[in-house]
Amino acid sequence: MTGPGATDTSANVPSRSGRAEPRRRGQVDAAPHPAALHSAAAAAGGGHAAAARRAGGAALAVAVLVAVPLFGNSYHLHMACLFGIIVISAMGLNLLTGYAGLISLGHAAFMGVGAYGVAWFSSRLGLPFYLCLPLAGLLAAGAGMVTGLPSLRIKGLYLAIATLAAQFILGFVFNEWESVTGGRGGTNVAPAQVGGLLLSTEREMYYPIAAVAVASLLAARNLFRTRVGRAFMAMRDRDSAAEVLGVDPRRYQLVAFGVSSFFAGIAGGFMAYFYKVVTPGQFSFQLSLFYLTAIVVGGMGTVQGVLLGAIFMTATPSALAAVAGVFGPLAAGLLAPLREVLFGLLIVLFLIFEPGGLAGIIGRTRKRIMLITAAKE
Amino acid sequence: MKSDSRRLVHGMGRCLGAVIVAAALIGAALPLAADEHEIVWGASIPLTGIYAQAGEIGSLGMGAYLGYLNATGGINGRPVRLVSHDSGSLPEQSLAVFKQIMAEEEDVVAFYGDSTGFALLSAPEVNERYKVLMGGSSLATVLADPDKFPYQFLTGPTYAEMVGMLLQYIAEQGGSDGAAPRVALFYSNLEFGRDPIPYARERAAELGIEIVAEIETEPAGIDVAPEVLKLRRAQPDYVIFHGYVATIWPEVMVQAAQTGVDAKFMGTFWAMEPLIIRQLGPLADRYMGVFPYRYFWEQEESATLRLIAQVAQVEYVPTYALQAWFSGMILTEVIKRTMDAGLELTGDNLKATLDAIEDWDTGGLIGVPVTFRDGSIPVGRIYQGNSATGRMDPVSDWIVLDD
Repeated sequence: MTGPGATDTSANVPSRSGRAEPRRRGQVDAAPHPAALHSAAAAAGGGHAAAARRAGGAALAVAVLVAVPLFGNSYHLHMACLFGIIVISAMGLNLLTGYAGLISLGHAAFMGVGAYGVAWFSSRLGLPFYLCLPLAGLLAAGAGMVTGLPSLRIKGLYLAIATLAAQFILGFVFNEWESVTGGRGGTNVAPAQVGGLLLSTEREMYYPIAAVAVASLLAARNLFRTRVGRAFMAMRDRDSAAEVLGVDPRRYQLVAFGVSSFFAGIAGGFMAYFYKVVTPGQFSFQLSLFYLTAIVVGGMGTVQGVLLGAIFMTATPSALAAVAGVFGPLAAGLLAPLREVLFGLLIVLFLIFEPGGLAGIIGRTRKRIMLITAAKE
Repeated sequence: MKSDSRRLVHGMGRCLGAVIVAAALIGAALPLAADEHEIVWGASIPLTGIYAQAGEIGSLGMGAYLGYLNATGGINGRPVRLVSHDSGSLPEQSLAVFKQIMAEEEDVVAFYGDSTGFALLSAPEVNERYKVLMGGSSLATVLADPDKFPYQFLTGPTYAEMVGMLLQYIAEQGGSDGAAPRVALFYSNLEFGRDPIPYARERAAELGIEIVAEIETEPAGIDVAPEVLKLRRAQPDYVIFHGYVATIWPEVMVQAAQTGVDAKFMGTFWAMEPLIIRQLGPLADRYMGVFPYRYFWEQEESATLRLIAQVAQVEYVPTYALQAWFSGMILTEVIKRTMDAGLELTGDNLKATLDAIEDWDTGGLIGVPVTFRDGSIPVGRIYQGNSATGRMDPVSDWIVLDD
């Protein structure tokens, strides 16, 4: 295979620092990937005490998730639902980019496919919520796999451009295919309904979104204990070596696009039910960048990174606004542009000083604490 | 040129900011009856993002109005408090702001949204759940539909109505050499840009106007030369611009003049800030457009503008601030009439009151008495740029669309 962008063992690949580094034939990664570190740390912390800690942590997390609607007002629940949708979608992108090493700049478009899928399945075919959502995921997965076809021949920057093209092509379809999408004015979606239970408000939507978000995280976490997940990581770390080991990169690249887009489609489907309206503007290129930023800041290749990235991207602007608000409404107005600069600066600082993202910081901090504790003992 | 414009706008912003502080101090010095509770308005304002400049000025305009209103007794003695947050010019964030304000504040009487996108996104919940009177800066045609947006009102004519007024004016002027007027529509491919186009085609056919070119472009960052060539081939008498956030039309006008396009250029609401006259230089004399309010310098004919001048104490108040001030006037009028009728301040009562408003005197801000129709105010006037004075001069009577 020849020509620019052709799949080659010497192709540039994104490193953990986020920069493309030339990879020489026979080169072996000097340091393991953060995901491997994470797994190793988890293994090292084995034993009954660690298992008990994990079980306690899981029980606490479930308790918090269950309790949120009891204490939160409609705004808190609105943000919680959005957070859940972001987690589902970011997990999908992290599977593709963080685990399988394939870059996508069209993630928002796959969410759009899911959202319009839900609108179509529910309004035109009259299908119920619990069927619309997986069907929307499958529809997005199909779109993702078609988009992933170029990945069989190109990778790195060239693949990024191909996915960018998918973003704009699908955006064009959302805008122009008026009989299906409603064009630029969008289309309305009836509230979700399960049996006689209407899921209209954020309070009613919260539990389904939270449940699917948790299931997504668990599914992603467990995926890497399976042959598929390990194939993703092998492909990411060195596709030629993976092929020698019996992994068919072409097949798994398509699977990665399919699985990632399935998550995006589910998230998009939830967006449709959540907002009850789907417009092309909701699935812009900026949203794709938002998700890419979330997984980079949170930490690529880790489930924890997805959560941290989602928290950072949703909470930081609000936190900065709240800080500005302390100085009064007029000051908040004047400081608003400064907030944007600060938010951008934080992201740049992460890229420069902490390529492992927030998950990297937390991982290192945890290790230091363990070392200090061990030294004291 | 660009930095000059920014300086001017920021200068105006600073002046208005000082006014707000002064008005707030006056308000504090004249406390209202403590036993009567306040009226809360919510707002999502684009202080950042692509609409930040308009949002910042609009915010200052609304602040100035509320400072004045509360200093003069509020509405029937009840003070008005505005709760607003930055929307980031993003509909989703704007919706989150709406939800936040509705959750954290009791009895929000009205909400001022920042965009068409927000209005579309919030409509399902507003209609079914919150049922609150919704205003906003958007003048999208789709919002003037009481079936889909029963709680929405507009602060002027819709984009379709504006283009309708321009076409009516063009029909009255006639084309060159007595022929049917030739019009080119130049619009962005945003929903905003395409908004009035179907109506424009229909109305042009009714008025005997020939649409000789329809040029749809990206909203910004385009090479205008190929589009100017299309204009040159079409040789229109008038070119109507609509749907741009960034000002690409000065470049279109400059290149069109250089290539021998002898047309007049027209804009709609967001293209009518007189800053454009400075950008255009002598070409400003060929720039026209439709605007629903009197400009700040037309104070002799408007008591409301004289009041704004008295409160603001600045040389010029921008059009975005006038719109925000007028929004405050509408809300005040509607709330006052509803209270006077002894009705509760619910969204349904307020919207019914608004729909019933007929021949309302706006103190000359709009030159004819105002009657709402499907939530919009189908009134405007054609203005023309004056490069010598740097102002927009009225060249038509007030146009009131009947249907």
